[in-house]
Amino acid sequence: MTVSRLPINREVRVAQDLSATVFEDLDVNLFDLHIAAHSAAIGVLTGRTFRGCRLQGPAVMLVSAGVQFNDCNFGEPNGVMENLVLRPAGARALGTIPFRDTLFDGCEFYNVGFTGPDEILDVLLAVGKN
Amino acid sequence: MTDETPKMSAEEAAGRALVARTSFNKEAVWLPMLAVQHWNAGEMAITDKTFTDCVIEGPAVMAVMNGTVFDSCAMGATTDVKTLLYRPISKEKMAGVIGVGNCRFLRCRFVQVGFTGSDEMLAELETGIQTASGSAS
Repeated sequence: MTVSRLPINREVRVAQDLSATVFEDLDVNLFDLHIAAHSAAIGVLTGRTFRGCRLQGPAVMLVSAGVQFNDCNFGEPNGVMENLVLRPAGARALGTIPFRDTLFDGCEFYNVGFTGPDEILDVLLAVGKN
Repeated sequence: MTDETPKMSAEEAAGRALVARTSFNKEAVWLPMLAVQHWNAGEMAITDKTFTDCVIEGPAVMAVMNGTVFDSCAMGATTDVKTLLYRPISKEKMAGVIGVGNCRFLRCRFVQVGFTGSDEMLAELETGIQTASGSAS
């Protein structure tokens, strides 16, 4: 039996190394993470692990292949996932922060929306309904 | 003897001054940071401002609220307007977006910014919007 990391009640610990691949028990601004990746010419944040982290927006995360959420609080107090999801009108999604092959384990999201392909959004929308 | 009134830090005071501004001219504006400064000041949306000849930078998705207009703006580096637009599923709340109401954007260039709003607003953006090769008016 695994023990949930939620809720995260520790003091704020702001992530300093935004190029790290593993973030554990840290607070991360998603737009800072994106800017750091962009300055390193990385378009998509890939191959990262966030464990026990608080992830802060304002940001809309583009969830693509290989992104997993395990035991996460998406930030909607009433569990209404519809309030967190935006459907892209086009084939691409500009203005978002794209993630691929990334694990979010025991994390909390603040002011973060989610978008992506329909099949991924449908899974997100089903969270809490089963 | 009375307690001393707590003073704002210089950073906080600068943030409040930014929030109080109503016009921005020929500046680069980092939209996520502007939003955070508003939230820190207790304002949940950016309202009543005019941006002229500015570069508005994301990454961000702007919730276009009542009274916001775009005049001769380059909305993004794409040939397909739809890649800039998002449809909210909920009609009540939207998370992760930056609300912008009663603002005027004149000859601005948007970089890494998407847009969302009501169905009517999205339809208007879809027909009126042009990308970096053109302009919206």
